[in-house]
Amino acid sequence: MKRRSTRIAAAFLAVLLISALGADLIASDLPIAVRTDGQTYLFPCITKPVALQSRDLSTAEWIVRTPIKYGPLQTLAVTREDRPEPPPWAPDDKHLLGTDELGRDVAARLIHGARVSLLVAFFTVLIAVGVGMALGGIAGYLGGVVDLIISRVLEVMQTFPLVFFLLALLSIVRVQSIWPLILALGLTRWTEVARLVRAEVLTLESREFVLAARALGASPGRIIFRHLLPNAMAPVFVVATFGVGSAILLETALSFLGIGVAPPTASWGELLTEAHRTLQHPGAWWLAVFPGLAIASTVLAVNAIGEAVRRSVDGRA
Amino acid sequence: MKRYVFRRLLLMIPTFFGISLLTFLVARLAPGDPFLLDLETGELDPEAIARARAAQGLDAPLPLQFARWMFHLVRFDFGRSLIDQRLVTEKIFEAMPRTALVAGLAMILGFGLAIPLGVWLSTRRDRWGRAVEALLLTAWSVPSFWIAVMALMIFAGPRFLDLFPVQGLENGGFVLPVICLAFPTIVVATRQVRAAMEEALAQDYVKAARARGIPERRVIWKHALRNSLLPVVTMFGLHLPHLVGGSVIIERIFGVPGMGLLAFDSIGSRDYPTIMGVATVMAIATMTSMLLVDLAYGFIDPRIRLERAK
Repeated sequence: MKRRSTRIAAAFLAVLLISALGADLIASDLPIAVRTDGQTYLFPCITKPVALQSRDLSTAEWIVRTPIKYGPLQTLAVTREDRPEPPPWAPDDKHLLGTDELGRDVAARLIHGARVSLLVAFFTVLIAVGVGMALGGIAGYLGGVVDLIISRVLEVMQTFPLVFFLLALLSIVRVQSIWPLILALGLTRWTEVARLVRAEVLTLESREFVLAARALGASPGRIIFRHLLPNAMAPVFVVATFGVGSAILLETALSFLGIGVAPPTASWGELLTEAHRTLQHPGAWWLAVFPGLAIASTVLAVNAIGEAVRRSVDGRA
Repeated sequence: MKRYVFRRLLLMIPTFFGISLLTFLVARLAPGDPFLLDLETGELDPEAIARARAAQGLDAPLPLQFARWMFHLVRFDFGRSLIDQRLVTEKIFEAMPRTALVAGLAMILGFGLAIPLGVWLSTRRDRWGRAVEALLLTAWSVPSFWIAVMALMIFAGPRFLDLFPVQGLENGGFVLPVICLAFPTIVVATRQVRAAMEEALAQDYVKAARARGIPERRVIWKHALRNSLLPVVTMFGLHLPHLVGGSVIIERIFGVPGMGLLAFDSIGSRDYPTIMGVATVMAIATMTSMLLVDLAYGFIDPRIRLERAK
């Protein structure tokens, strides 16, 4: 945290994370709190009560709206006499970042998309680190046939073009849920972690503390998971941080190939893909520019923190 | 030397087998097959489907199908496409030169720019150096297909600058795909070169060369650079899968009918023979490039012996 750029990046990510988690409180077609027809509703934007869904809220006694008054999936958010032409509409005072082809508010979709994209990136890296550390640790400590097999699998995964593999794998499961995507990404991205941890374990296993543990009768499992892996964490942190950034980028690429998070769910990749699809609207620049900026600044912030982590790990070694 | 190459080629066999098995399983375990996709659109007699499947050998148990595939493979026989009945080898030979052209030019452009840029960065610790570094980090954070879409919007078509065709490789249409594909390569390779150069410049032999009064330019470009090329060459080999993966997206955006687009289309239509053929060719290309890189080590750095000393 020495450099100013690192602090700015951390602050940016913190704000982004909070707004992504609280996306429903920032952009929703339902208000934060409302009193109508003698009944008070608290946080209908989160609970989404059926009673409110198609009611005209302009007659409410009092109302607290979310800062952005549109949901991510709400089409043709307003009927507007001042805008006879069909959407996409350019940014104005009602839609700060404009709307897409279906009249959905870009700002609302960006904030809700942040939640999906960050979720995918975070859990992808979590799975990749978990699998990579376990396999790398086992291969490094046990050696022999186990090492040979795991190393071969690793080589196969590294030789094979990742996008091609994901393309085949994800065309199997086309469901609305994002978990198959997360699982597939995580299970293809563990190789770098495994390679690092294996190398680290190979240098650690002849140290005294491992010898001591073995002399005390610790099982191989205990030595790997309690003694070796915690000491091999430092380089993994670096890879994991950069991994979050590249997972965000990979999600956008997969969306573009039509195998990412299934539409209409808003994810950053889906937003960019939509921008490409609607390129025939000449000059609808806001569709491509705002999601692009959001992705670029987020990944940049993540990478800046990755650089900081790398510097501190290098300095320690 | 011969023995080393032989041993490496032998080690490629299990890796290659693993890749084939992986592709085979992923492709076959996917629900739906090419004949069922037909069924959704037009009416087709279930018996006719069964006959068609049997004719392609798709009704056999999976292990037998895999054995058959491997048996044909060693004779470079990938079979015929299930979609247009053309020979898969023919389709691949048609697509390959286009991808090779784009990816090859991207590789040359990428490393050609990255080496001087990386060397320059390693000697500049001032404001300019930091600015370029920040620029690289930013470029690394932008989705490559977004750059491609933007480039297409600005430089192709009648909207802004009508410089290049929107689709295809003719009339200079290869320029944009090459630049967009080279983009991530430039960033990653530059950082690699810079890191290696910084390490080399801190070594004693550099100090010694300077002390002997050798001009700084010669110290940097000859003494230091030659010794920091090794990790760059390693990257050159490992980079091929990334380039192939990237070309799937780039070829789709720019409408280049190469290997990436062939892979994408054949997966979409469950064209098993084509999927397997493309994957096999890609795997062979990657493994060969890795082998060549390992062999190149010996030429670049004579201290590295490929064979154990006798």
